[in-house]
Amino acid sequence: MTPNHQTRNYRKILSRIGLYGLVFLLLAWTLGPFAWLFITSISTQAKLNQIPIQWLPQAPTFEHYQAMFDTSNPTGELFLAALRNSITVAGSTTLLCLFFGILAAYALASFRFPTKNGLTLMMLATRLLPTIALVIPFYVIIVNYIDPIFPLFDTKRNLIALYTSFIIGLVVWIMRGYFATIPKELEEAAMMDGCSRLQALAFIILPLSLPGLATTALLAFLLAWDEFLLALIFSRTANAFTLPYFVFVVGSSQYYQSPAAVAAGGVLAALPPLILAFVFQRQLVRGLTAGAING
Amino acid sequence: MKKRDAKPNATRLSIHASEEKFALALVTPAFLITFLIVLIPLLYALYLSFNRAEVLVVGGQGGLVTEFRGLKNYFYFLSSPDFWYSVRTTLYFTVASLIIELVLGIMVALLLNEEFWGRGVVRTLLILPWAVPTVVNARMWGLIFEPHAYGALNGLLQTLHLLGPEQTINYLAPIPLFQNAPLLGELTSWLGITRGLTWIIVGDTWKTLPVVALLLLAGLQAIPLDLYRAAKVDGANAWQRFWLITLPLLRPIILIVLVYRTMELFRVFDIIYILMAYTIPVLGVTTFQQSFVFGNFGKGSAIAFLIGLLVLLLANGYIHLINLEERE
Amino acid sequence: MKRSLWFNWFSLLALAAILLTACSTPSPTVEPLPTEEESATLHALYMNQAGYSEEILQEMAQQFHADNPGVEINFTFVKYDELHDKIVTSAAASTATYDVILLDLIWTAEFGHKGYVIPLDERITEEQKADIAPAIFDAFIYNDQMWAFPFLANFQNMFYNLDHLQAAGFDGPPATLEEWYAQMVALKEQDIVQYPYIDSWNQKEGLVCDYVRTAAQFGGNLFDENGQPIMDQGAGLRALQFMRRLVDEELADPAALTTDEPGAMNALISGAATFNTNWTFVRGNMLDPEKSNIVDAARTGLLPTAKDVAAPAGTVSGFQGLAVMANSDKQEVAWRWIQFATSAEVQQQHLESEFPIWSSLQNSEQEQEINPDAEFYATNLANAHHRPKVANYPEVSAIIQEEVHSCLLQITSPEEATAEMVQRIDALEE
Repeated sequence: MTPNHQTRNYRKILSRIGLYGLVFLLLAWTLGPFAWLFITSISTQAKLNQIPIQWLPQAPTFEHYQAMFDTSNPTGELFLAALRNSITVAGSTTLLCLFFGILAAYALASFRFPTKNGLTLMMLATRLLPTIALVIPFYVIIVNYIDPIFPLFDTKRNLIALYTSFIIGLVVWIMRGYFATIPKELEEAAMMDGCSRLQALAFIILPLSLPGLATTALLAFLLAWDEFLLALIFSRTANAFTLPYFVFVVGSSQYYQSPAAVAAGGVLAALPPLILAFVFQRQLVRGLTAGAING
Repeated sequence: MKKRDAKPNATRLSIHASEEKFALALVTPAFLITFLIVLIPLLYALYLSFNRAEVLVVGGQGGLVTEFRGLKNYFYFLSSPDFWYSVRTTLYFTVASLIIELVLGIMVALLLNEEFWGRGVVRTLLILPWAVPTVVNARMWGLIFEPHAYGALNGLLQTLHLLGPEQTINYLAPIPLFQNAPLLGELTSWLGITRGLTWIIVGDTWKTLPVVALLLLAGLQAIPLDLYRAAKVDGANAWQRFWLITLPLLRPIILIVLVYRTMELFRVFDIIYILMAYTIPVLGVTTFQQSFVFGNFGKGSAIAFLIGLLVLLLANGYIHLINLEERE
Repeated sequence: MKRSLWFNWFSLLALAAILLTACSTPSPTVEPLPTEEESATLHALYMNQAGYSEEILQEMAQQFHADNPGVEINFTFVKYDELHDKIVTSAAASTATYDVILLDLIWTAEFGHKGYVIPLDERITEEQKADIAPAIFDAFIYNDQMWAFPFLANFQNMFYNLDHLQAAGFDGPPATLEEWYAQMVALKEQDIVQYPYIDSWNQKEGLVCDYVRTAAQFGGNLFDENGQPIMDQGAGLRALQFMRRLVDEELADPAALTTDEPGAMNALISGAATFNTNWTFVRGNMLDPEKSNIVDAARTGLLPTAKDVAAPAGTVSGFQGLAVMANSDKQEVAWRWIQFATSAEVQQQHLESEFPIWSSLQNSEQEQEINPDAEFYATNLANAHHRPKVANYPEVSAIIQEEVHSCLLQITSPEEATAEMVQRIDALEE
């Protein structure tokens, strides 16, 4: 080997080490906070108050997790109610968004009509409005005018309606992009065979855009699962509390603070979206890219 | 869109007038859901913003009582130094987050574009922070930023000997950065650049950086490798290749990330409210406080519209940028 | 074509309707009883706290239910920070969502002024009045009317670590404010603790409490009897100067500026701080080996006043009352529940958890036995000062919080901060 070769090898090894060093840093930054969240959740208060800091609990306790699933305990009652509510609200929001969003997206992707571009833009524009700007009128209208006739305040259906209106624009936007990639010929062939348009949509186009559909559903679900401000204002009781609201209140009050309970609640609330994101990682990234780019 | 319209067989579908009605029928529900729930409240908020509106209980009946006061609510804020401080604080949060996200995002994307052992796993793990609900993220960083020696970050820095055994940092204290430096201190306190907000940016970035990085990575992967090979043949070094090929080709996606993140960052509420209540008066928090703490729904609506106006201005700026891009 | 199109649409809508209704079950219970009947569900808004905790409240509700079989009590527990918002929300509804609310004394003026709650004067007996300290009663009076019935007598005390004091050569807690300061200096100089004092000085309501308390330790108030701000002179100014001095000389833990009450307690019970001025909830926690590292050294004491002040102690009140919403349609039942929950008989069962509001209970042997510190408690309580009773308290409080905080962050001087407070409070609309 010539010295030249050797230095080149040497540099290559160095750059590999540098690369892995950076990867390690990236992983530490990404996973470190998770680790602390989990450690906190299985620690006792006395351990958490230890100076200097104790990284690993000597006697891990799962009491905070147990408390969450114990209906005889107020925290558990609240957690389980919030979990049920979150599933119902995020699930229904997703279904409604998909149902109406797909129809609209199909029309916007397949037909030409005068208001088409304007409609698309306006639907998307709702995503840009700051939620806080809408919360005040929502609140005043619902509390003063709608609630006396039709109870909406502190109900899941209220949250479902509000979330749907915020998320549907995105669903239309992404699905429109997917539909545009499906060859028109397939649809036309189906219609030649006597399918109606909706049948063609249901039996030809939707199955073909299934991956896109799954991604969109996932995105809508995660957005609804995550929402906090509307839940904060429009829920009061276990009737409509969602998990973000629960995590906001758990383990702390004016006279009481339990970091371990906060952490346990946080872990549990984050688990469903984490699992979904882990399993559908590829689809999610593709969906996000599509949402950002298509059109 | 443009491509498809050029195809003759695609346009054939829209010949009949009935088809147009059919299409409209399909769009209508989604449109109504959006507009009944968004547009009407928006108009109502406009009305409220011209009124004094507060909750009173009169004769056993609760409700909102309004009293017209024209543009007074708007003037109140436009002439209030607190409002402009809120605007500057919000801008600091937005701009600083954007810069960090983009710079680190590009770096992480470049790193993930390299070949290394376990790359797939790293990419999968990277999306996890994004999936953490905002509230959980805020409370998690609240635990990490605990100001005493038993807090995670203080403990970590002490373990690494970056802090002395007696030293701790009170991360979330809203102290202007470089408070004691003569001119700089005044600038940072005028701009609302505080230590607390800066650390909140760190926590918020942890959650959003992965998406930005993964979006940019998708952009990187779309760049044809031939370009790099050709540049190498022409003698361009890595740095030149980055500036002459990678960055220009990433520009469209950077622009999209910029627009999308600006809108999200500018309306920040959750993480700041959860960690700091009303201590850091970004616009979202001020609006919330005016309406739901002070009970002034008229004033609250007025700020909300001012925020909307600022967002429109920002959006307008970006549209300008994108137009320029397309003309090039 | 047209008909089939609309037919399609109809079926879609029907499907959507099914989805929606399926999602929203169980629907909320709509009160079918606009007139008051023996059977009713009372909705009560309460907050999560130690002392009268959720468990104890539920227990009380069950006892009440046993006596009044028709009445169910449905509690909602929220964080203190949200309590006010939720009450306003309830007042905005034509018929209140909550019949009974927990009223923090600082809202007395606002809720009375805006008519959210009903005056209770006619319902309260002379007998009851005679057994409650005037300092407690007075907190719920605005415009000469009583707006809530006292439920919980919270106030700040001095909690300290005796081991630290003894290590620094002191036998016991300070008798005066000046002595307190001298002890802190000694603790710091001898390196027994890094920061002798911790308090909850994050920019929240607790900061106003601490400021009012410190002013009380200097023998004065932040507002005069007419509700005019006077913190730019006398006790108000001295108090802020004192607090600032503790920051400047690093006697107070810098972490105090982002810490709330339970966080401050944690610093005490971890052994990191010697003194913590805090609410009554600390006592139970500092003596609990599950939570505390200083069980044997933890003590309760008087909040010392300045040498030139005659009062033996000075503190701030954090009383909570129970009130009936004015737009509730179950006001009679609501009042019956309030009478029950605040009664001496019920409070007597929970002396372990909370200091009672009734003088006869405070001085009872049972209480002395349960709480050997009852004497300190009673003295502090008798010298409690209230936060201002003004109708726009939330805005006034926000101003005080901001200005005190920016002073303690060393951005403004105490003189500037107090002058700003007076000016900004005067400038508030109405």
